[in-house]
Amino acid sequence: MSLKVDVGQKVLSENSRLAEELRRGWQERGVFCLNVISSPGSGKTTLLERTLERLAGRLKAAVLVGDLQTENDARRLGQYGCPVRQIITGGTCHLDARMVTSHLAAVDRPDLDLLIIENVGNLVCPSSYDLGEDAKVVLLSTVEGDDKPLKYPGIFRRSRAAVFTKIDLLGLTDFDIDRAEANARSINPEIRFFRVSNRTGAGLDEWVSWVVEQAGAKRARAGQAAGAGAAPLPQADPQR
Amino acid sequence: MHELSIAAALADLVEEAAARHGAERVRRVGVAVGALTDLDPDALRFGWEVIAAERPLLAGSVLEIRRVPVTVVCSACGQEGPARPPGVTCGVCGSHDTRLMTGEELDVAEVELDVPEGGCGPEGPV
Repeated sequence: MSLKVDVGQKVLSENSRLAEELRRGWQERGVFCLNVISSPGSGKTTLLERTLERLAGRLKAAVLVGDLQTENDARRLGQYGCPVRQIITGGTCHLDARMVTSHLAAVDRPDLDLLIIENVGNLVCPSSYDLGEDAKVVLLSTVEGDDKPLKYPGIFRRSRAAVFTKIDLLGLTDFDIDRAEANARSINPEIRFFRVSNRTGAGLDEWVSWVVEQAGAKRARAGQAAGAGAAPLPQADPQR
Repeated sequence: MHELSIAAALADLVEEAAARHGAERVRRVGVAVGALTDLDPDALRFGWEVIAAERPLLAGSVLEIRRVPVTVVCSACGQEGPARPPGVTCGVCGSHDTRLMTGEELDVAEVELDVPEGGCGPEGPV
């Protein structure tokens, strides 16, 4: 006989469950996690190279990088003194919380401040899969279309920040950066913008300062939570 | 393909619900897909056919996709209603100062199952 059953469950509830476990762990420890997403070729890996260079001595960072094939990106990112692990997905077009959970131990350390997850180059699929991150950051380069935020509303909607890369090439294409920002803002009024050139260094200090500030705020919140709880952390500042 | 991963996750959930009710077969699955999810319904239906063909409980089941439009509450003009496509700006006054009400759903709403006559009944609210 036929039976209709109300389910009312999110399709990605299992991924969400794993992501929340990751999120809880990082919350308790004060680890700030970024999920970096873009089309292939927007400059994610190069931006992270320039970022890791500038983070030396300021934050203890680790990186997980996802690709369908090769360890090329992990090799590049491994030159900056941080633990890096490549996640090879084979054919899967995005990272998911299960993959992050199973690779995390390879890069984790007790005093970690910042975990950067470089997602597979793809503007669609990564947007749906929560990795437990504090913030998604989407990249858009000046050799792409300035209407991309309108074409890919999901990822722009869910990102805290958008980094416009390759600004040294402005003027060589029809990319209108102000229009791109307006388009992104129509999808996500709260999104924060950065304009960078990985080659000239323009805008990188502002971007890295934001990362440091966000990580510091997360660390402070964890310290306050620990101070309010049963066991205070030795390094927590009660005056903060 | 993205929709294939989504269809696989969907199939796992549907099989769990079917098992909870002692179903012999799944006839129909109703899913709500918000317009902001960037999912293509045809690709999702195709992905479902591929996945369902490999799982006896799901073979032949129909995937019914309900598209959920983007609706917002506007802080500027106070109106609640459809947003101006393709984003979340107010459909009435065009303001960016809005709060999202619907449009990001990716939910299994309901399933229609074949259960044995007089056999295992529902365990209660899911």
